[in-house]
Amino acid sequence: MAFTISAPPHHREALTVNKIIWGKILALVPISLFSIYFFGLYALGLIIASILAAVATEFAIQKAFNHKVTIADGHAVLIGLMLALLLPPEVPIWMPMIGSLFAVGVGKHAFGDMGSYVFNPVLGAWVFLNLSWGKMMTPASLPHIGNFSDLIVEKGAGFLVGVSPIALLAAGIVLILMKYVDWRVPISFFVTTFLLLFLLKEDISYVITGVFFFGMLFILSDTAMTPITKDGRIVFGIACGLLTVVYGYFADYVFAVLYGLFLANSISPLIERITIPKSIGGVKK
Amino acid sequence: MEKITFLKKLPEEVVIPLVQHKGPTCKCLVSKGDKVLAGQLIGEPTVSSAAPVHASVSGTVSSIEKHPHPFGTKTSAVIITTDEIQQSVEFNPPSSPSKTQIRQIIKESGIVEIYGRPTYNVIEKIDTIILNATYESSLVAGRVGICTYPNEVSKGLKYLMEAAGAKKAYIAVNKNNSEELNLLSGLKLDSNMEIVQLNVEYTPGMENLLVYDVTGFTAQFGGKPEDVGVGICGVNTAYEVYDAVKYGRPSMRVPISVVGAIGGPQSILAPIGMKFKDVIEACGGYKGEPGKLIMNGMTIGLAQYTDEVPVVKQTAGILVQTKSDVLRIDPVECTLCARCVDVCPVELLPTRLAIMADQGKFEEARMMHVMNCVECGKCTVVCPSKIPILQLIRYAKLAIEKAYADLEDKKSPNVEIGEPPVIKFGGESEGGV
Ligand code: SF4
Ligand code: SF4
Repeated sequence: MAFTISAPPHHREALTVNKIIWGKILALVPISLFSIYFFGLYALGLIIASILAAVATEFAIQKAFNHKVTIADGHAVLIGLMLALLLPPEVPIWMPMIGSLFAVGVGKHAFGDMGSYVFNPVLGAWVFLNLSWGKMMTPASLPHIGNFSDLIVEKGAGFLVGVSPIALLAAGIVLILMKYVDWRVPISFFVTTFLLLFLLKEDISYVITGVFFFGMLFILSDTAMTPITKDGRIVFGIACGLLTVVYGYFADYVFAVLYGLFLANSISPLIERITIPKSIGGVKK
Repeated sequence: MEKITFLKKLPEEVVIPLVQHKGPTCKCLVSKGDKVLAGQLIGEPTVSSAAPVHASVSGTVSSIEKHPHPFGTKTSAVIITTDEIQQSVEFNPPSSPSKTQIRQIIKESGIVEIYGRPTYNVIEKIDTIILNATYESSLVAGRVGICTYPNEVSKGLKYLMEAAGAKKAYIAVNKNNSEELNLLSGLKLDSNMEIVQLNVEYTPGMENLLVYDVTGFTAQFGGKPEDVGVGICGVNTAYEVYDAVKYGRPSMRVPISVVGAIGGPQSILAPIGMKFKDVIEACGGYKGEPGKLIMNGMTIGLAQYTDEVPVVKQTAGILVQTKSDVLRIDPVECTLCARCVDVCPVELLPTRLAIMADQGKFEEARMMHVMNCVECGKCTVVCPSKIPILQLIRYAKLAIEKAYADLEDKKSPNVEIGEPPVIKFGGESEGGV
């Protein structure tokens, strides 16, 4: 009888990277449908263009460098979808395509690959589009959650993602409960932000927008941009909250979230370095 | 409730390895053709850190040869053909043994802890005993004695304390094993025995961590719990000690959890030397096509290449996986999801260590305390990228141990001993984290 020999452990949890990524994509389906319903079929066009560009870029790069083609893991699809959701519905169709090309080509692959890139590809590409075509990227209106129904469908949404804060919140909470997403960063970001808003007596109806929840639950759940240490993740969430509020206090809270996270992203390695735990056995008696 | 079942029929042949602890092989006291009785001494230790070996059945020695050992190599073993009618040596335990007598009995009965050290050595110089009843569910036999013979276990623990001169004993139980907790709290325990509820399963190798979590003492890396005056014993040890002191019986049988793709999974009391295939046969045989045979649990167990290997004193579990259970894993890149960090019981950053090991940056890994890894395997179990983290960490640990062993040899006597010197390993290293 032939037995397989291998090193322990002899079992693994069923969760895989693919499941996590496709889980996130699935969680973004409701908000995508909302935005198509609200902004019309052109929004669908933007989403499709963005995803196709992202996948095509990944495929081309991996083929060109003779790497294993990993489009089936869904990562490129997720990047494309997330980027499209962060655009105003009026942008020309080439905009998401350029953005996705940048996100996957530069943001993801130029810095290594999944896990080793420095900047979140979606945020990076969004900042890039803003710096290059600022006018077109400026939303027609800023959302204002005046009453409860605006949480469900927000007519003042400037980006696709803004149409339904509640759809994002619900989906994100499900991801956390299913342990697809760690709670530390989003919760610490949320608490910090609201504590500061309260202290500064800011009007939160400009803050609890779709972009805010998108940032908190979907952008911040990109584990490559957050520190791996337990304390580091809490500190990182605080930094995100701080930067968001500082920016938002002087400008507006839609751009604040995205620029705040982008800035926090750049100090993430530093936070990680200062929060490395002392291993238990390493304590000298 | 999980209980230990007893064997209906002895196997026709047993294979008793002459080494069943971590240490040198015992001297063989029998030769081919000899008649032996159950409980007869057949392997005599050559050093004090070895445990004697006894025949577990009565019969005829059919051969003394190298035989596969569940720890991987082939070792000398006494093969005994079992008699129809079993006879054992006459045991005459002293009626009210003194401390020295109990110590002697424990020494001579050859009891070995699941992590490989003879119990006699473990209790030599300690003042606290921790009875570890926290094993994972696929090693349930390591603690199921609590359900089957709770009084004997607590009496055995008392003997152990007496022999060691220990003032305090803790019984470490997993919080989630409510049945065992209930049973234990129903027992009349002495005032110096305390039940501690813990959340971790302390598998073999995690002894120092168990000591830390129960008493707060830190054994230095590479040290043993005894260095801080604590001895770790298994539930089964306590039972065997009771058996030895009360009835004079040496270590001859072990409870084993037989689980997985098996006709009738159960915890069974098997004689030492019974081949895995016979144990599996006695538990209803294989179910489906077996793909992997593992001794001692999912997380830290050793995969066996043959089911001819015998049960040894350190065996606590046999696990069978079918062909389709056997993992075929294709690791993908680490996504820095930090799940491994969240589960590590000693607060390491397993993903970083794995990457350093992979790149040969052993010195950096050492600075990040890789040597503190207790090899519990948890990081590897949770990793969604299916990276063989533990294997990589072991590779780094081995390399570091080797490097420092060489260094020690070359050290001249007038070199001052201070912080460990920094060794450069092959390949460039960039420093920092
Ligand atoms: S095996 Fe993994 S989880 Fe366990 S101690 Fe080592 S690094 Fe930590
Ligand atoms: S669990 Fe696996 S994928 Fe996640 S950080 Fe650790 S090594 Fe990387």
